[in-house]
Amino acid sequence: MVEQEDSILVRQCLEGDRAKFGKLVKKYTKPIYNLALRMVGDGENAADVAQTTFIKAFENLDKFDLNLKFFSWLYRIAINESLNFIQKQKSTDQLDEEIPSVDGSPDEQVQRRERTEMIQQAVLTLTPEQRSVVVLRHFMDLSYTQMSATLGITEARVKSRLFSARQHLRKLLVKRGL
Amino acid sequence: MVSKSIVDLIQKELDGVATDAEKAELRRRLKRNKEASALFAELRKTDELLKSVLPQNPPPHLEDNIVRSLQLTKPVETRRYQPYHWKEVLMSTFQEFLSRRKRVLALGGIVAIAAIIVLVSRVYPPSTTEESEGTIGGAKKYRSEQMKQEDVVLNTEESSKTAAQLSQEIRDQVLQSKELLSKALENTSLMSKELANKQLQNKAVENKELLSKQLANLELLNTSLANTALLSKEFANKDMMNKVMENMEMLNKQFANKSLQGKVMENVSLLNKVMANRDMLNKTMANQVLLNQELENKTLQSKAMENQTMLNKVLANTSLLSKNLASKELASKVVESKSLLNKELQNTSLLNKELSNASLLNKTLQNQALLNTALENSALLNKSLQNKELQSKSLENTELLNKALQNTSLMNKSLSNAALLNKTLQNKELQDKALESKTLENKSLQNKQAQ
Repeated sequence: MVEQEDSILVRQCLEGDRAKFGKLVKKYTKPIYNLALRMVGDGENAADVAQTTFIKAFENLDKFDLNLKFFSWLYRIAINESLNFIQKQKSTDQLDEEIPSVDGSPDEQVQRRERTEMIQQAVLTLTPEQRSVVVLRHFMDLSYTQMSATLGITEARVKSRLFSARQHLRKLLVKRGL
Repeated sequence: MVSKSIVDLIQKELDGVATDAEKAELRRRLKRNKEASALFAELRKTDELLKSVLPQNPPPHLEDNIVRSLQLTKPVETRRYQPYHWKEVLMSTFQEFLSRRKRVLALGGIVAIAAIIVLVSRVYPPSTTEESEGTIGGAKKYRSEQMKQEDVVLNTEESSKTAAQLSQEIRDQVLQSKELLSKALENTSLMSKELANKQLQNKAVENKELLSKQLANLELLNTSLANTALLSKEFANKDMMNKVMENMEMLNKQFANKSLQGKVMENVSLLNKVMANRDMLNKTMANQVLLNQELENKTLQSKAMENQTMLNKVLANTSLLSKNLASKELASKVVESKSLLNKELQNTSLLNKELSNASLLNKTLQNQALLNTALENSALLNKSLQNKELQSKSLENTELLNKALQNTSLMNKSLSNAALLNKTLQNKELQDKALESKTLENKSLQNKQAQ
């Protein structure tokens, strides 16, 4: 249903109704921002990556195959843009994350913030390929098939990367006392 | 050793795609394989940790920035997805062609080529008065004999006719040249039009430059908008910083409260120690008081003993004197000595009373001092502790009160001791009196026997 809505919006946009792309932007800004945030580890850079992702998607919308899922295509662009950014930056130790305000006592908030930061730092130690599968699986909640379609690799490769990433994270988080 | 099949099952279970059979199989195998079980537990914990990371809201201006930047990007190609109609395709192609920058020049070129074609078709080949004919079929070859002298005859009519034809031809040529001239004039007008077109083209170029400048201005506008967005981000960051500072202040306050609590606890422990020391001091004071009372009792007893010895001596002296003196004199002396003894006893009782009064005074002073210290402590407690600690103060005060009560009971005990002492002294006096009366009786009997 959601995919059909996306396809309709894309078709309308391709037929000249540019405003329809605005709806897609509104719908996917948050997931794309979060994807980029988990990939690059920095809020400001994540916003830049998200903006570039949408611009590239808009420019190349005529190349999009309407038989495919729009979000997979968009996530793929976002992953590629993030990887490009990581290659340019070559430093992932910077973390300037804006943690959202959550319920709970100040002590709980501080604890949650510290834990999130530690997890994010652990994710940033993964290789870009491993990070991609972890972000798509755990933060975007994609299935193996969707990850395979997004990353353009086989499901077996997706599982293999995911397992090695999980093992790496497990060792790192255990070492950090989490 | 964890096999690949278990790893696959663990992955499926973690990703929520395992079937019931696979889940059962995993449980069964995990029971047998402790290493796999530990791996599964740790991976599950890692998954839970990753799930605990909540999605975050993008910056508030991100969506607007994206939409704004999309407005500046080139439009999406739409032709590919439009239905195929040859008329529309032709029209679109023509429109696209017309929309090109050099469309004016191209039109001018087309007009010029058409004009040249028309011109050439009219001028070339040069036309004659006779109609040109084509030949179909076999060529009829003309073979004539060699010309002779008589063949050449001047015909004036024909010659004049030829001249007329020539003049006609000349006129025709003049007309043609006129036509050519008019066409040349037309060409010049076309040229002038072309020039006008070129001027229009120049103007179009100028307009394009203006357009590019406008685009540049738009870009500047966008950059300024982006700057404003950045500024707004900075403001948002500042807000966040302020919030962080507020949180830090809250944390500092919490730490300060914690340190105050620690200090209060230290004060409480010190107070407890002080109270314990005070208890010890009170006990030692009470012991000292008891000791003093005992010492006083002992001194009183020793004095009583001394008085007894003195009395014995006096009695011995009186007995010796009684031997020599008359019984009356002895009696008078005994009476006198008895009065003296009574006086001494009275003095000792007064002394005892004074001593007891002094001890009571000391005790009251001590109690006063204790009360003062208790008051000081309560003041300190009031300062250090808050409302909750008032209860502990009241408890402490009650303890102090109990101690004061204990002190009063001790005082009562000491008073009762003093009373008992007085009673013993009175008993002793009575005993002494009885002894004296007995001795007097004995003496009187002895005197009687002697007489």
